[in-house]
Amino acid sequence: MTVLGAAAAPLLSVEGLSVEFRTRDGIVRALDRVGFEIRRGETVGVVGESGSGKSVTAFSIMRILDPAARITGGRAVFDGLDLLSATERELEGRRGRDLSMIFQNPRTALNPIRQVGRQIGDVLVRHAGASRGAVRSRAVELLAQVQIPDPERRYWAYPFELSGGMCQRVMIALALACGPSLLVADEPTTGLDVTTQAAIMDLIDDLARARRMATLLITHDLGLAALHCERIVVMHAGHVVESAPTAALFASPRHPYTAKLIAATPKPGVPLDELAAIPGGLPDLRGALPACRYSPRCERYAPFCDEPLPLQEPASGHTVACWKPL
Amino acid sequence: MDTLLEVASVSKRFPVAVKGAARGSEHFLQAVDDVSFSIGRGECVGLVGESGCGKSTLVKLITRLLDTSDGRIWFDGQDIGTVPADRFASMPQRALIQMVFQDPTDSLNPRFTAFDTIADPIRRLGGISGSRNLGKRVDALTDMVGLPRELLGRYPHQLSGGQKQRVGIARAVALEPRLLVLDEPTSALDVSVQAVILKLLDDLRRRLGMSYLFVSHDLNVVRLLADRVLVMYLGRIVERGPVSEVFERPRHPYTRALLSCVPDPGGGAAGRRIRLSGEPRSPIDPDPRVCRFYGRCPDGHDRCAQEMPLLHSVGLDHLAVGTAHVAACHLA
Repeated sequence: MTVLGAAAAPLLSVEGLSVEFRTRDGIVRALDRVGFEIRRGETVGVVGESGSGKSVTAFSIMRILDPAARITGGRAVFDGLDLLSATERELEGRRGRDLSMIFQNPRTALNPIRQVGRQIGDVLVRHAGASRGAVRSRAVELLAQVQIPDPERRYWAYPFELSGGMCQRVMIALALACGPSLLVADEPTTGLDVTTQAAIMDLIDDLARARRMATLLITHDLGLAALHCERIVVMHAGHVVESAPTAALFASPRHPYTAKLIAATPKPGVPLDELAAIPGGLPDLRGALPACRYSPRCERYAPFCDEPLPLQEPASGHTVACWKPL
Repeated sequence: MDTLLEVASVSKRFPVAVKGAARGSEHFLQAVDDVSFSIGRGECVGLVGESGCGKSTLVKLITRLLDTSDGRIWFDGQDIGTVPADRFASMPQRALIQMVFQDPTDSLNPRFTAFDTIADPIRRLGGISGSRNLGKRVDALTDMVGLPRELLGRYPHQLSGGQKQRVGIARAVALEPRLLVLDEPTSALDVSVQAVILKLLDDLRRRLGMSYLFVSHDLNVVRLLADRVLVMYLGRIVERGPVSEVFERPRHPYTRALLSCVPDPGGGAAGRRIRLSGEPRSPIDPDPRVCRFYGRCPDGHDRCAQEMPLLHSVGLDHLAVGTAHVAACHLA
């Protein structure tokens, strides 16, 4: 994209990713030509409202989409392999080892009737070829690494015996067991307390830094993304509307939606009457859609907005999909 | 300010079975421990704390869905704390304390239309007779919360999150309550509609003269609506005071940690984040002499393990007793 960035090839490069869902009421065009890149060791945030396509993007990269979904176009090249066209066999060797995922709700993502230590052991046996004997001590080590107190004892705990924060730590241990180079974290702290959220995010940051692991952080919380990401990708109704380094995005958002999102997020020093609301809702993704899916909600709409969207690059590494950017 | 709700030394203990305990021994989970505070007429009081700190139990005690173990609750000058929860359901005060729930999807009956949901409390407790009058009242409430009337025939699954929460709010204000308990009213909503719902709640409070108890773990949101805030930790109130005081000059180490963890969008790099290490103490049979925060507290010392710190005034100015800035810490 930029001259500077060309030196280091991206670890993951997503281009033109389009996904449809077949439903009883027609085809839902959930993603339309989504593209972004992540370099080694970098943390990139994907933000947007629910229904904007954040999780579908993550699920597409992991190739764990619902059977009703169809990838209609695009590439997601990870370390030389196009994840979107790879065979199930090729994926099996990579998923859980080179790229892994943390899910939103640790309680439903963990197996409720298997001790957490054994669940970590399963991953080690499958991907690291660890011997049965070595597995237990390695699993305990991993539990200790995610700062679970008394890991020897917690190895034998079932998920219901642990708090939400502890379950999330187990899932991080599970995801990091084989030292992946890319971690996809889908709302890893939603539903957790702020103090627990801070501890979990610090843990992911520390481990990412220590291993030069790249992280794709999917969140609806702009504040969280600001704190932990080097770059942020803003999504709206299946489109990437803006992508920029974090500081630039907050200092000078170019897309009207990004600006609204920032103004709508409560922060210290901003009273209630200055808090913005974003009028309207996400458009129905079935049937005909305008070129810019934000245009029905946009205050800056002009007739020429109905032309096919441009991808402008007002500054290096800062792209915006808008005819009339701020 | 005239007091609407007065909670005095309220406690709630649940009997629990403890693995490996001697037979015949009794053990209690101390969910709420010696909590006192008041809410004035027209006032909004925020209640913050992490999950498991007893917020929900306290709310159930105030809304009289649970019986207290100790302490008194006065509402509108009447002692409602001693009325058994099952009898409170048929008392006139029942209509005056209402609640807005966290998840608008889970808290609406999926087989009720928006109209039925809003009409239900009026039919049960409102004393309005005749379907014409009922319809008029529901229409008025619908307008009040900014829900288009044509949506009244819809079921919850046909409404958006923001619309569902408006239905939940209309239902809660249908009986013109004096006290509204808001349990994380916007945490399930997108940030795009959060502001609208918060402004609606703020506006309704002024128009209807209600008092709010606003429960949330999002401090950035509490700050927007509340006049005063209560910080709870493991069943006890550890700090209490006007929002501006508590947020700008937090005196309890737990409040400080909590505030330091709140992400500040656009605030640049993370400030001096206070990391809490260790696990919270067990709420089962807690030692009454040890500070509940001891062990996780970055400033803990010997005295904290020997003597439970009590709430004392820490404010710069000594306001009226009920609204002063107080904290329960030996070092505050």
